[in-house]
Amino acid sequence: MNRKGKRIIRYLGISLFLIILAGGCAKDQELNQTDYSNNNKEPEINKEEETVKIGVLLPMSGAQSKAGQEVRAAMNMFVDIINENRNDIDIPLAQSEGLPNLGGKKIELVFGDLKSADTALSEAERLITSEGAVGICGLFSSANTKTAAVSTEKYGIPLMSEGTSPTLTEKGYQYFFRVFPDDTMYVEDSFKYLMELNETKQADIKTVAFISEDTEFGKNIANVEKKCAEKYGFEIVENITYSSNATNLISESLKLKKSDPDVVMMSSYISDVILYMKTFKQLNYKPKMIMGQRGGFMTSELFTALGEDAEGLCSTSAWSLDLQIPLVKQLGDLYKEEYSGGVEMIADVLKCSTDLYVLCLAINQAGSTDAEAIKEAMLNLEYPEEQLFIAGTGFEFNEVGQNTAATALICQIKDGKYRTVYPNSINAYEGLFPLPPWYEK
Amino acid sequence: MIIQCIFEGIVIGSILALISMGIALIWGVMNVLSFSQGEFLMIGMYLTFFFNKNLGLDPIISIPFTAVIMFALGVLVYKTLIRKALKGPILSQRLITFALSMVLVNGMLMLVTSEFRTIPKVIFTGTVDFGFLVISKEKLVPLMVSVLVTGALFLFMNKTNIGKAIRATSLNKDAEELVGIDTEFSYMLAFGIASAIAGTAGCVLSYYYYITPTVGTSFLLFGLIAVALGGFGSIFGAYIGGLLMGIVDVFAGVYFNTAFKYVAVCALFMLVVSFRPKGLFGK
Repeated sequence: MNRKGKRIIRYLGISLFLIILAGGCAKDQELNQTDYSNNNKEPEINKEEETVKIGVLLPMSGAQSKAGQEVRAAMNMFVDIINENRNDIDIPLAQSEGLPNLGGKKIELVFGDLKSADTALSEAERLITSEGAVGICGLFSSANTKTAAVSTEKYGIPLMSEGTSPTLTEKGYQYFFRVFPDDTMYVEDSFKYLMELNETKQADIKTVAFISEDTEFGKNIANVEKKCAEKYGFEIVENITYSSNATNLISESLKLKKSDPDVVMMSSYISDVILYMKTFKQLNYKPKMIMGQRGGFMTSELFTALGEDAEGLCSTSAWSLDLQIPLVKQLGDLYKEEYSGGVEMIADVLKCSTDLYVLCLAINQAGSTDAEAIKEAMLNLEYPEEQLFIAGTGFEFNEVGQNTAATALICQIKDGKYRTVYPNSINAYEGLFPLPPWYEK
Repeated sequence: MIIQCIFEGIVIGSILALISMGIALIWGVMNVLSFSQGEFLMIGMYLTFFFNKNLGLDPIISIPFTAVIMFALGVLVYKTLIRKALKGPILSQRLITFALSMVLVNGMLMLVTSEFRTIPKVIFTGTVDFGFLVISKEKLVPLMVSVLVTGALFLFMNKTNIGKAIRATSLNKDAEELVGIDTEFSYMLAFGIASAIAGTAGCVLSYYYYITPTVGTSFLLFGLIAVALGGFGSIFGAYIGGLLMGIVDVFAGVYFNTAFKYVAVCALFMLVVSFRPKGLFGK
């Protein structure tokens, strides 16, 4: 065979390899993103009249895409509950098909990729103007919420977000709503729990240290933690800020070990939580308690990546599978068996999908997709307390969009699951304090 | 605490050194800046993970297998991409590895998702506590491997005929072709060796680090600084550059402020460049 022939065969071989690779990937993508591709192809005007479109912003690419997939699965579950007749699930909108006050119109989700704060703005705008979304929800951080709010406030569209920064309700947004607590409530409850341990278990907790990543998420929480520590009389021995996704967290961990606080409070993303725990173990350092402020502590990857090393970690939370409410178990099982491929429901996933559900409740109660009517319905939302599947007493939004009936929880990992240790009214697990050393002597 | 800081700094530095040596080798031999070195490290970590999960191999045991696979991948990348880019304009030569790194990261995100993985059980685990110094056995692995790889590479480049040919090619490609040295083979070998070193770094890093498709990106940046600090083209310089960076990183974080540890590293780099523009050991 001459040189030219060899070259042709080589290029044919490479082309075949690329086609097989692309084919494999395309199939994979099709499985994961069926409804997304459908939505992109069919934004026809006729269909807008038949369905109520809700914009959902989720990370679909990059490091956060797994969390995005889990939230998407939970949202699909709630959409099915609303769109289909589910007499077996005792929550409003489950016993009818679609939204009864809108003539049975069904919910349709239109998705946008949430890569950064910038894309939150552009994607929210696209979903509102091109796709006709009547409300926006998704897996937002506080920083993403602020940029998405630029679009939602501009077009007067309700934005449901679980960005927990207290500043979100101080900005004068007209269409912003948050179903679950903000940082102040979470952090306040963390310190109340420490006080309770001191009183009931003679825990003798006196000193605390804070580790916070250096974006809005960590900085806001660190500020609230500082105020609360002073309020409840705990001594702050370290207040460390660090860059997220650092290649190492040695100096941060060495500083903590040197100051030896009783409790370490962490506001970190999952990559940093994994690295901190590995570094603590390598330094043979373990404080009496490690309390996460959600973030990386509320991801399913915490359990898979850390395994036994995650045992005993605490985190503030808004929801837990062990809440003693039958609906919690029912929804948790439905999600795990039919939607997530065996992954258990975690708080952040439930929070985002509850946002979608609450928005649907408000649209139905308003009987309209008009933003003002939805806002009015949201402020006067009616929900039977016996049909609740979250902690707290219901959905009572104040004028700045915060649900004042929500309650924060403190959970601790036991046997690979989060168990609720606070407040006392829920108290499903007595808790482990102090944490045992990494290596038994 | 000072002794602990020195130990931890050397461990961090040894990982950076492994990454930077590959970059230094490729730059020194063919004047190509390898932006994909971080992604080769990432692929090395995934290979280690899959060897561990499916065959139960400890990361140390999987070093030779990973290194061979990564060497083959490096040769393939050289033959299909780098060799062609070297014939093109200078911008293509500079950007081709950057483009490759983007393809590898996003390709891996599609194939294995962004899920964080770790290797649950390793042979060397536990700590030795001297009071003033806690030595993690897991961290001794990158330290030892880094020293061994550096020594082996040094011997290969200086004592073997192939190594001498690679070095000669880096000095004057045209002259070497005239005396009968296959420069094409030298280039291919250098790229393959650099990939194998990155794969080895991936093996030892996965001993105590998480594995995700974007893990290599942040290491690459510090690897590049280590190369520039030690001197472009100098393998020994890259090793020392990595160690220096690790030590400065830890000391600045512990004794100054954790938020400014990277400022200290970059300040050191700027200081070195102002006095020795070609780096500490650059010629």
